[in-house]
Amino acid sequence: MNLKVGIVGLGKMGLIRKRVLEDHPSADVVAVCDPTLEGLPSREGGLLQTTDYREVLDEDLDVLFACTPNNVTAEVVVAGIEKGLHIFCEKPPGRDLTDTRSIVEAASNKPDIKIKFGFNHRYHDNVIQAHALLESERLGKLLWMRGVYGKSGGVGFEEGWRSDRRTAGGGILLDQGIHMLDLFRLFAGEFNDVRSMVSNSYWPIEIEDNAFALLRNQEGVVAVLHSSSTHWKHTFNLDLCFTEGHLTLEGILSSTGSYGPEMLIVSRRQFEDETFALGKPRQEVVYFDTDRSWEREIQEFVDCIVHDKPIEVGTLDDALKTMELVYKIYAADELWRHASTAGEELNRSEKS
Amino acid sequence: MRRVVIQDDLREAQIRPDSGFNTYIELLERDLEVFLADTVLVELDVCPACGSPDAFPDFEKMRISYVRCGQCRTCYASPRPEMEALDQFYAESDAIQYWNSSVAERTASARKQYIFSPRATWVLETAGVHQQEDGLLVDFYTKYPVYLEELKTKGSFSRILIRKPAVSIDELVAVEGFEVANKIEEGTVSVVAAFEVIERLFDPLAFMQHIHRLLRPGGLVFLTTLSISGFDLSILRENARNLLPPTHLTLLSYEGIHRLIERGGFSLVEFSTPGQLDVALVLDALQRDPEIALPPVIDSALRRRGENVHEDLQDFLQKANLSSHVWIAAQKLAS
Repeated sequence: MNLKVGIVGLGKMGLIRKRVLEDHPSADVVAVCDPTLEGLPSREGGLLQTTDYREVLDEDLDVLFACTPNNVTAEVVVAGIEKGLHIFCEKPPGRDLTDTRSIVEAASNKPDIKIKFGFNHRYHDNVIQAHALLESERLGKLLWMRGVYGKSGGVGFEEGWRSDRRTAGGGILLDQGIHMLDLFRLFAGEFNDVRSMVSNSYWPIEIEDNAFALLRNQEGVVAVLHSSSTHWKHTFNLDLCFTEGHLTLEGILSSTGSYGPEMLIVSRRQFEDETFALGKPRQEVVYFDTDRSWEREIQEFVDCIVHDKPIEVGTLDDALKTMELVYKIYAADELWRHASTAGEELNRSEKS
Repeated sequence: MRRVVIQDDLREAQIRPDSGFNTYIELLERDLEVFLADTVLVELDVCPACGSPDAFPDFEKMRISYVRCGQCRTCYASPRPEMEALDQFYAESDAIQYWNSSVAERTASARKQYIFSPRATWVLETAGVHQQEDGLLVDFYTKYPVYLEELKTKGSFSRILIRKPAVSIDELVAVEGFEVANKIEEGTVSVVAAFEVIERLFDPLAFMQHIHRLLRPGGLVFLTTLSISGFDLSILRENARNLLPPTHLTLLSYEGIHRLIERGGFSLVEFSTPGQLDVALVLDALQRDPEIALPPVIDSALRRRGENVHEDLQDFLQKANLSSHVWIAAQKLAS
């Protein structure tokens, strides 16, 4: 029997999830909800279409996909959890830590359901192969990482919901930089030392358009992040330096292709041939031509439900820890901490 | 699917020094003359890559005729010697013995750095990504223990066996410290490596099907070969010094490789052409014979531009899968 799936939110992400689910042999999309749908509710070919997410929850569902703006994510996810549904939630897990913790609390009462968050980058080929290299220890011990994730904003950027403080909660760091932080955690675990500068330098919005963070874990691995919505050339670049070599993850396949071809650049230290190599070691550039990340992510989620296996990627713990890291970065900049609602939220959360 | 581009500083002379290579070619010509005098050659009815009967004459090299497949453009020797005769040739050829005992010895250090270590790393890392690194590895036709040593010391394969692709000759190439297998149980192998093997076989498809039977589901095969779709071979054809029968009986095209992999029951996980020498080989051929005709833009890039343009062109050839040096990794599909 196929899993019956409801999707709340049919924006860009919701439509991607719907396409992948419709192609999946073990899932049927039976209900969708989006405020922009017209002439609703309707039921065509067994598919309920509505503008009210509660009507989706009233259907006979197994799984709920929450692909909503950040301000309603927690509300929708908590309602789904209370109905006993398995949950797939896009990142970020709400606007702030209060939202995320409300999801954690609701989930603590339903230990049997599967909850997965859409930290999709972990399913990209360059990330998978870089992680396999790290795990194999063939490049030695990780020393440092440097990640740049930037987008140009573009026409009308300041008018979208992602630029609205009340809807989004945070700016580019929460929206896109969170993926890079998730990858930092994948490669180096948890960071206990966090410093930052967060700014709003260009766009007429109340949230950050640039975040610079300097992080260090217990083992001394240092990570540098620059997350930006004033990076006029779309950029994804992550360097990992090891004792015996170096990896660069350059580009990430996307629907528009604007982040360039997806590459993993592998070079190995050549100290013994220093005079020969002159700091220009042999380099292998691995290109990946197909983006199978969406299919892999959904496949893993469906597998976990069907075979009652624990979620391994994008867990509730991943969501909470990555969200905490986002808010530690906001808080680490004294100026931003006091100037932003992020700081206010963090103060509130620390007091509670 | 992956494709790999390698940026390094390999030079032709490091792996094929002129003096040794010239002697090798002279010996090979002599060996071939004797070999062809009393060897029965068999005409191929169909293309060894795609199975099409549509073919037309292409060129002749060292008394061997090559035809071109009208469908996939693979270039192949037809008529050609059968596998048993080929095995005997490979075992007894003075040229091959000279190469192994002299040229390979002299260039061992460069070969390790530029050829064998990268291959070992490629196999280990790709097998790791596909969770095939802990089982049985079978290497076909290994002549170079350096590469096997690297697999052994850096990898976690439970066993490494070496084997000849054909069974007509019992005398296998022994490599110290490695087991030579006469028989391998079907469906038990995680990884098969066959570097520069497929082009020298009488029947490449039968070989791929044999590998398919040996591999367990999800198992990987790693192949390297020379492709006629590559820059230097497509320009130089019979004038390419490194195109030498009978070790190069089938020069698969880009399309032919895809068809052969598919017909063998595999799915490609990597198609790369990380060659670094195409441009250098054409430049070298131009020095030897300035009359070689080139398309105008290539002629201009090679004869009238500098080293930077040559490097950029070689880089582009790799990126566009247009180098003649091909790396293939493919996974066994469930039959």
